[in-house]
Amino acid sequence: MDQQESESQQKEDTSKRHTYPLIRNSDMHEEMRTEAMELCVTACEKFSSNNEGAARMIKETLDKKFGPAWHVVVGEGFGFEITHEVKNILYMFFGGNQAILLWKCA
Amino acid sequence: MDSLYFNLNHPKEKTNNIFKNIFQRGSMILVAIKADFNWVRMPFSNIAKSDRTGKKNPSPISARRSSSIAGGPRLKPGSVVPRNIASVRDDGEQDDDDANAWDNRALLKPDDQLNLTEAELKEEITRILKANNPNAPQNIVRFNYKEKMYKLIPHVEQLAIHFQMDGNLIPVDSEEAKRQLMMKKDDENSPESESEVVNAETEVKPTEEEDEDGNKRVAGQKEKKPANQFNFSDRASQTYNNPSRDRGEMTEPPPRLNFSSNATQWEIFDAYLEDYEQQQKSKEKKPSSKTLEKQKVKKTNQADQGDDMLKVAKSAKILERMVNQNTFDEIALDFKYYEDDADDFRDQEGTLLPLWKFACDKAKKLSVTSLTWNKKYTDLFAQSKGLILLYSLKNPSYPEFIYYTESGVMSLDFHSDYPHLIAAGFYDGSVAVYNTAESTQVPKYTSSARNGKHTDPVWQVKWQKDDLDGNMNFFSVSSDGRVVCWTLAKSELLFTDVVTLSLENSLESPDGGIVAALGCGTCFDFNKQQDQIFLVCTEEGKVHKCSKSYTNQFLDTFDAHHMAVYSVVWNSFHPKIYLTCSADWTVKIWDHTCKDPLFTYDLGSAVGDAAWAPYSSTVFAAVTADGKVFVFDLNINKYEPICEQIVVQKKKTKLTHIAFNSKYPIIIVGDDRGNITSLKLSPNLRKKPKEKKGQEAPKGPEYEIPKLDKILSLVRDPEAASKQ
Amino acid sequence: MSVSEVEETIKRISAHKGVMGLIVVNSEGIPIKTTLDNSTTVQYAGLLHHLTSKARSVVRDIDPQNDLTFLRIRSKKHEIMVAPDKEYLLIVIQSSDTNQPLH
Repeated sequence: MDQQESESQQKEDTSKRHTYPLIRNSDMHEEMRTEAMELCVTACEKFSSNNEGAARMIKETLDKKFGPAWHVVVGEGFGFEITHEVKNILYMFFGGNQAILLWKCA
Repeated sequence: MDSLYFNLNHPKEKTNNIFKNIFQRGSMILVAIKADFNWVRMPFSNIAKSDRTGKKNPSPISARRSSSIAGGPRLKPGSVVPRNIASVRDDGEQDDDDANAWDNRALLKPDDQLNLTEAELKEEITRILKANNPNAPQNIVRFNYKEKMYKLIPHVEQLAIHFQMDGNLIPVDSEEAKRQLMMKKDDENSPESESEVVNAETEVKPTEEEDEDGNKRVAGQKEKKPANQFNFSDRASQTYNNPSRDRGEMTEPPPRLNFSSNATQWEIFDAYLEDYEQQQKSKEKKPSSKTLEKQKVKKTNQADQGDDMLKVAKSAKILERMVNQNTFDEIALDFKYYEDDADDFRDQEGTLLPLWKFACDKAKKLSVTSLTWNKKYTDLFAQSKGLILLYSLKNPSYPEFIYYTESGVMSLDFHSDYPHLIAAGFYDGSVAVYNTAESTQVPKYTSSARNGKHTDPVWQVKWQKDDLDGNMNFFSVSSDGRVVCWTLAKSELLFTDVVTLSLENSLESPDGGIVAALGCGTCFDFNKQQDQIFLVCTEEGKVHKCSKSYTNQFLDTFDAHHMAVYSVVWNSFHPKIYLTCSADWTVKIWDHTCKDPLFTYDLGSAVGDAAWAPYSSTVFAAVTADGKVFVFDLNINKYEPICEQIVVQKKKTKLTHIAFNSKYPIIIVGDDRGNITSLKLSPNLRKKPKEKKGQEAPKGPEYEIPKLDKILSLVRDPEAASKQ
Repeated sequence: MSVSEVEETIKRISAHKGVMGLIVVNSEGIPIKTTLDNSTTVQYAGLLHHLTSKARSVVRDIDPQNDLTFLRIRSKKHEIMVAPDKEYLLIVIQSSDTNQPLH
């Protein structure tokens, strides 16, 4: 019983702990990826209840930094099929329930 | 204007008329005729001709002029010169008439000519010609507004123009003439068709002039006249268009990739979980060596290479059950919901509703030698014949597990705590333990000839509680007269002889020795409350009460039946009561403290098996060799079964075993043809005590034991009971 | 459980009363084993693969720790049963006429 309890506790812990940014797919360079990821974290924390705002902020910042035509999707549930420029995509999860997709395609 | 230019091409007569007009008016004017022979329309040939004519004339003209000037006092002003001229002209006209007579002629004097003397002739008469216009007014007075007075205009215009005519001639050395001449030269070089047109034009005009000038004009025709500058002709031509050529080039676009996925809550959840597990793994792996990882990889690879079909094994099983559920939908509904309404009209009797039939081709015509329900998975039961079959109610068409055995299986038992373990006793006297969790056909443990296996068929096996060391153990009884306890040690089966069924009256052998005769054990059962006490029955019809503590001694011995006892079972609730059934057609109920049976029922055929119901202390069921199932409820009828039903389809099929399900109101019965039938007990067969108002229905041993006791007391001491 | 046993189970299912067909579909929706004709198989496999993944998505979206274990579709003519495994779908089409209770 004790074992079971500890296991279930562990499970709860894991689900609670799952708020860190988790990169699911990215072919960016290390530096760029880190920067983009941190940007997403900042944006999502700033606009915690406003996905549109977060997406806008990410997009505009990226446009300034890495040149235009960035596209950003922030949401809890969506499907997509996109064409992106190589070395310019990042698909990550954040906060346990948010998915952030950003890519460049002019 | 001092001079008059006029065209010499004009007909002479016209010229004469002009002069006539001039002189008839009698105007005093100096007329200067400038005869310029370089005029364009006066070709040189003409000049030459006039020179020729001119040679003839000069002398008479000069003579006459000089005479007239010198000696013409009577010459009236204005009349002399014209007449001279006229005469010259007349002379000229007469040239052709008397050219030869020209030299011979004498000076003729007109009649009225004055005869002047030499002196008179030499006298110089001076006359002054003035350039004043005689007709001009000489005294014009106009009012001068400046000086507010009339003033005489001193200067009067003296010029009088008597004739003016603009010619169409241009000086040959003028710019325009040069230009036209140049053009004419170009025209000569141009194609003939063009020049012909020009000639045609030029020919029209000269015809008029030819009348007077004759040869001159004809010669002049060949000269090109300057083109009429107003005579246009449009010309156009299409130049050849150079073919155009397109050339293009594409730059290579930046490389692109497609990416697609679905972001859903569970995808995110899974991703985090996976990541978490990887983190855990990496933590674990750090101490471990790499070889382990490699081994793991190899293993997984091997697993991948295995047949894909294995992966659908579980699904296939589920689906098989599903299909069966659909096929036997009616039965499933009956199993769950059907209650025989007829029971309401019968007071006490009940019926059995047949449900699924379990039959396996592999086990056809093999007698069912043992039936037992799994105590944990209540839908699972085992059946033994020549092989061990494990059926689930969820799949009546095919057993969940099949174990093939070398020898006929006589007995089976599921472990109550470890439901995957099955103990089995075989016809050849060996016992074995199967583990259904392992996918092997080979038993996990098996007894061998060395470690005390029975020498005769093992009729019954039963799991017991773990011993003091925590090892699993089970008991077995065999025809060789031994009851053995088997303990599952780590890798082998250890045996302990618990009891040997020695007969009281040992036989004397023909050679005088004493042979210890052993009873043939057929079945045994442990008391449910005191598990050290157990009953062993023999083929001789005896029941021995034994204890694990006293291995060589019976606590008690009953002469229960005249023939072999097939089954002995303790009551589910009451610790003292048990029943036995035998080939002598009887079922007997006993109190283990009494020598005599409490109840005896004759069922009219060999009783293959009997069992207490798990839900009531007073209900038991028995199966007989003539294919009948009997159900008794002592609480309702102490003397007659409340249900007696033939459940086999073919006659002469013997029923061999029966088992109550611990949870559902069903029983299974096995026959000697290898079929098992599940039967649902109608409501009358499982009557529950009536509920009292405001109280829950009494349950459990606290209620069941007194209930049985009450009935038993009636048997033991009918009078006392009736008093109660 | 050995391969032969699985094969046997599948054979038993398809031989069962009322079973019209059995299809094993891999994770990409491609049928790898079937008892039906080609076009029907492809149609069932494609459609049910989508439906099952959608159904699973629904269940998991509601609670990520939950999962789809079985999908039954009862229609006038058939019952389609889908057992989704991690990598394979097992589809059985059973005619409903045989298993409809008479009452």
